[in-house]
Amino acid sequence: MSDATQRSRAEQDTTDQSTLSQSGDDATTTEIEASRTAESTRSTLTLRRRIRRIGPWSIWLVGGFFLLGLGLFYAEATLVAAAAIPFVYVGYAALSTLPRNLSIDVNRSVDDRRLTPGDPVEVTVSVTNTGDSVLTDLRIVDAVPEELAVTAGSPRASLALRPGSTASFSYTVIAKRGDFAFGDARLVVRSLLGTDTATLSATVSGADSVNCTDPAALDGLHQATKLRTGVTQSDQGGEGLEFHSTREYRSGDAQTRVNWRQYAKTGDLVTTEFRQERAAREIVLLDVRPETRCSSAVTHPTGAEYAAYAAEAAVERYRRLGHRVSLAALGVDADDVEIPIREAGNALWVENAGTETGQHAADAVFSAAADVAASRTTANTALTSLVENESEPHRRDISGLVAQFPERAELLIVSPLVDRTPLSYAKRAAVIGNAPTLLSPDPTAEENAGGQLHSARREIRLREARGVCERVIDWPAERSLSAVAAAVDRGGR
Amino acid sequence: MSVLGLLRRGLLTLSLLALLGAVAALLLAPELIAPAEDAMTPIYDQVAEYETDQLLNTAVGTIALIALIVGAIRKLSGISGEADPVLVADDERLPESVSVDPATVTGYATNEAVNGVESLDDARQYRNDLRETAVAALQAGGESPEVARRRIEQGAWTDDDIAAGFLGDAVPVPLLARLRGWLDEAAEGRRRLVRSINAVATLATAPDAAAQTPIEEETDE
Repeated sequence: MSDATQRSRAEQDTTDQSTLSQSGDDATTTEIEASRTAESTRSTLTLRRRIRRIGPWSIWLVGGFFLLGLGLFYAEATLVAAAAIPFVYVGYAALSTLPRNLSIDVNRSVDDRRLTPGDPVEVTVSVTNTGDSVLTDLRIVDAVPEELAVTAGSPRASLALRPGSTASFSYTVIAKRGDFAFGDARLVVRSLLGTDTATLSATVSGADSVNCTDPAALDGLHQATKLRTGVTQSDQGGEGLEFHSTREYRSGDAQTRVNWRQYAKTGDLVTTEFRQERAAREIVLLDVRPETRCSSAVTHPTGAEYAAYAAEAAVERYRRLGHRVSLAALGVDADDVEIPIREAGNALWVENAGTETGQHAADAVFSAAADVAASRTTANTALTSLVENESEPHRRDISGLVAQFPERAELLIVSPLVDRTPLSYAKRAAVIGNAPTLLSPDPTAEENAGGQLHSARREIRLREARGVCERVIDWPAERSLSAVAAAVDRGGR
Repeated sequence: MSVLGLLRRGLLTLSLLALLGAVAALLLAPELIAPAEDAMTPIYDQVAEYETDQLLNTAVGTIALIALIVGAIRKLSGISGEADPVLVADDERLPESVSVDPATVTGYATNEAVNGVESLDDARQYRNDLRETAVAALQAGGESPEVARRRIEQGAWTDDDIAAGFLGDAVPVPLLARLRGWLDEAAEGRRRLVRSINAVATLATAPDAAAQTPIEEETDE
């Protein structure tokens, strides 16, 4: 149809929204007054464009007059009657218009639980017709942050709303590290005949971002390393030697810790808590080498991103517990870190991140690691083999780093284990008495042959790691870090 | 809605209904509008006095004039042909899209290599990679490298005939697979690779189970 009519006007007080509207239009022809109100229950609507397919001055009018003239000229009743068709068409189109006062409330809610990278986040958008006329055809699309991928549902909906009624739709995005803001929702409202259409953008109340920034808030990862008795004593109750407190028996408590004397006296099952003893010195070895910066799917963060987040959470946790935790980072270039950091082997080394300078240095390293982890490594398709060549690290690099490890400190290696390099470090550390623990986020998916092969090779490395490390925690791609941390806290794998 | 707007809509509705009524009468019950026809008779008589050509010119001229007026009004009010309104224009980013290079997904290069296989020979050049992985899997299950190699040579590591035959020289590839290879080399090459990768993946998750199968001792010649 070539006779589409456009009359549009951007709201005077909005900036840059008028790009789609034609300037110089007769302002009086715009009938929609986008409601701009201080009430929080309504979204601010901005008219971007309005199209009226059949305007009052349509070509159809000419057709109608032509038929009428012809009918009268030949005194033919059928032709005169036929002239009514274009007239009725134009007349009805003039009746079918959008309400003058469109009023719509768009509200967005996001899972408010604490998010870690890779968590699926459900976003629910509800749309309420706060005006007094029926909206027969309302189409809406939510502005999803560019960095976040929609994995389930759709951020689009087509709704019909009676006055006062609400409809909602939801979709799922995958959280990434950082704070990602949503934009304004885009709407298209059509009249019943579809002859009058307006494109609007609407501010959205409620949640305006997906926030996943604070690894310090993540609990439980400190339990990953083996608890070694006799080194330091914490204020937490648990296994140990010195009496701490008693509490009600819970199923799963060790029989040796049940206070049988009290049971004989009163019949109550009570568990004795001892002052928990654990190693006071930890080393966290973070692996974000370029090989690790690939993901299980385009929608998910890279293995390095998971590792960087988990390592930061672990260091934070140890530091809060008053442990002497040191940090080693593989794959972070010293030039990328804001402040000068000591290098040991080919890793960055931060001794005792518990002190003020140490904390400062560790924060700088983590910030640089998070940046490099998010920069994905593109696969080299020029290879003539199915798998990448695995290069063993230089012995000198390993000894250079391991020589820095404090005595009797426990090593937590956080690595996606895409090659055997972390195992070389683990083996060397195990030899000199730094009991290694491996926490490995899985960057593979068994969706296709390539993913299967890499998953299989990683599985083989994990088996090897179980022979070297005190504990190996495999972190499947579909599980969130918070779930893994909770499992670690409970003592599971 | 303002009173004026209501009035306008009311008038428009009434005139539309009247128009429809008149048309219905004209078509179905012409006798109802006979009085109107009678009123028209003097006009028709007057019109009949003119020449047909003259009359036709007047009619065409009137319609052309109306068309001109409508066209001028459309032009003046800035009306132009517009496409359908769209939520997301063609040149805009789709809200549910991801701006991530698929080449950064683990295994991309391997998939490309498998898809690039065009003959059985192409597929065979990757056999050593898979054999090494299978040996490493068996080693992780506690087998010595020599025994693991022999096991793969003899195909005693998987239930999959195609994978066993493809990676093991001492085992024949099933007849049907050979026939398929003769018909379509490229497809069969890819098929053997994918089946072998599947088998190696299964082996990696449970190498102990595969190690239960007995193998023949190496005979010194």
